[in-house]
Amino acid sequence: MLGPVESFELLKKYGIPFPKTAFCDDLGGVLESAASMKFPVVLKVSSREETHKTEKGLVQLGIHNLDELSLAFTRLQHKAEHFKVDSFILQEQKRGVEFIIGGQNDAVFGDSVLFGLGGIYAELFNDVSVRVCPLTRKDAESMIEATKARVFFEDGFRGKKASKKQVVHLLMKTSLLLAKEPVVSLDFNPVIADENGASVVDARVVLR
Amino acid sequence: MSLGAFFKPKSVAVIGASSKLRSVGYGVLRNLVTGGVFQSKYAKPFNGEVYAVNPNADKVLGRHAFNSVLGIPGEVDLAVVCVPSEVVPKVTRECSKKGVKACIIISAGFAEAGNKELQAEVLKAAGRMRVLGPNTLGVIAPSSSMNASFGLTTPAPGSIAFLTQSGAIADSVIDWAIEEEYAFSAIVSLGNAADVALPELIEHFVRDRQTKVICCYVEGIRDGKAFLNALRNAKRRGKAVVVLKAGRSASGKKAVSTHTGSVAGSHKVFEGALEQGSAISVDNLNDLFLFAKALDFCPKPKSNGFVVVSNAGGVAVLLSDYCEKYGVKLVELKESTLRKLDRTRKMHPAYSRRNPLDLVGDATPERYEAALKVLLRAPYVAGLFVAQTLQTMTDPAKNAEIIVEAKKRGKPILTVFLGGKYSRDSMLYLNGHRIADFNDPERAVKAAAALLKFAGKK
Repeated sequence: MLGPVESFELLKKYGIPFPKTAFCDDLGGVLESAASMKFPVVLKVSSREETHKTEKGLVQLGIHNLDELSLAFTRLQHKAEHFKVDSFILQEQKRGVEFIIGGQNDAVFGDSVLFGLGGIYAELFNDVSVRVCPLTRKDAESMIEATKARVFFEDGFRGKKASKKQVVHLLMKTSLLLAKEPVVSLDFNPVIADENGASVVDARVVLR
Repeated sequence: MSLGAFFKPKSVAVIGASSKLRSVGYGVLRNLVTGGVFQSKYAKPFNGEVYAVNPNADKVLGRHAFNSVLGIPGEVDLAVVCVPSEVVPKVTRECSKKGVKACIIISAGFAEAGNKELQAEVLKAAGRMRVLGPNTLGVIAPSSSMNASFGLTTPAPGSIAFLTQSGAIADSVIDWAIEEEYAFSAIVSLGNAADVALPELIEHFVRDRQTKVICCYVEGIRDGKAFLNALRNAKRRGKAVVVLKAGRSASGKKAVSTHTGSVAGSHKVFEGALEQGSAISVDNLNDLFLFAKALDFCPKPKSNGFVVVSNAGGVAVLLSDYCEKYGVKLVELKESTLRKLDRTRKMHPAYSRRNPLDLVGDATPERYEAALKVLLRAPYVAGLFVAQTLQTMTDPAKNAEIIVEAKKRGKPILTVFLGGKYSRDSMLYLNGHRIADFNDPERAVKAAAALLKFAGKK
């Protein structure tokens, strides 16, 4: 499995957008990196082993200034003692609708891409769609339409809307990445999209 | 080599033909010679040569028994092998040597029983000869009057090709098909699919002129890309493919370390491939054949705009609900259409004057006829649901005749003759005249949705 640094490098290679991200070892590094970022930011731990980081309290959201950032770092460092943590990730915080994009090498069909609502809902309701690679634009569009998440791309829901064009673009880039790299599985979760863009906030990639 | 010899052979040899009642070798020979061990009006003797091969008998079912396929004087296009598994490599080698084009291996005891080496040995022995099976029920090709299987009998000849990975399901489907008047170009049991597998069979029936709809019962496939290609070819050639996938829960076997794997199970990939190949996915055997019937009998709707015609308000309401649920649109009736309906002077004063068109409970065949004529002439009406419930004033036989006549206007008509014993004859009459009756409002609407999907209008 790729670590977070390599995962984001892979995203960069394929032109897959992600928020401004910095990997830091200590408070000094965090504060220094924050200088070139737009608040609010997110501070989270970087770990190959820990999943469900939000549930474990390993993600600090909505940090609006340097004071809050120092406080968040201390809190996270304290928490991190109980888990296997490699370093810290500082990231500009994206707002929008959360989706999940996955990739898997299927034994019968080869590479496939998955799309669904992010967070716990895709899993809870099994409301995801999958298509075999390579994806055409039509395939990518039909993946969105096949899930309940489609409302966010049409009229929106409770004021939240997402750009279909941008998510379709992301799905097709994912298909391209799968075609070129020896991926066993990948997991972009969450992908956060609004009316103007879509970016991969967290990525886990397993190579052969 | 092409698969033609499996479906239109000039001569067939049954290897392991037997006089022993209830043996496979008896069933296969009897099916070839008579069309079916069970009586059916569609069961006809195979009109080519049938040879019996059995080294331990002089005669089988009154015909000469050859020692080996090599002893047969004429050419053999198709061999049906029903000997014990350990003898299969030997007889397969003989068939290959004889120049047999296609070989159906009914015998079991190969990969499905863990004997992968024996199966590989058979494939090697076959050489260039094509092999269906082993562990198959066989092939039934009603249009060539050929029942080269141990399936109970032959159903009607028609335009549905049924490809199944379960032979036993084929049996039940035949039994059912004869009752429900489903008509087949072929029924093929794939068995272990050691050589001939599902994608190649789909490709064959895509090119087969008789076949309009390809129904598949699938448990698992090996070559996903070839399968998807076959589906895309079907779409290009205007053939509908309907697929029932079984064994969905086994999808969990390929658990992967990431989170996605926990929801992505390979059934989702299969479903995605069906979508990409424009195939129609169904959840049960009933839908598999209901959709096949609709796709076989109905012309493609030109748009998503149906009208409900009913003599029962309740059925009309249900049909409307299901239309909304399955994405079938009910068009609004234009003022000009209503005027034409009024002018027929056949409508009840209290008829609904809107879609769904409720003709009122005392609707006579004349009223149905008038409504159907007006509606089918309206260019904006793509197709009809015609519902009927039995009341003392209802004439189901006459109504069925009117619908058969109305079909000539070239638009899809799906009927719901809702009932049982007293509606049954009319339902069968409708099905017999290639009008798809569903005897249930929800099924009719689901079938219409499948038609729209196939026509690319949904």
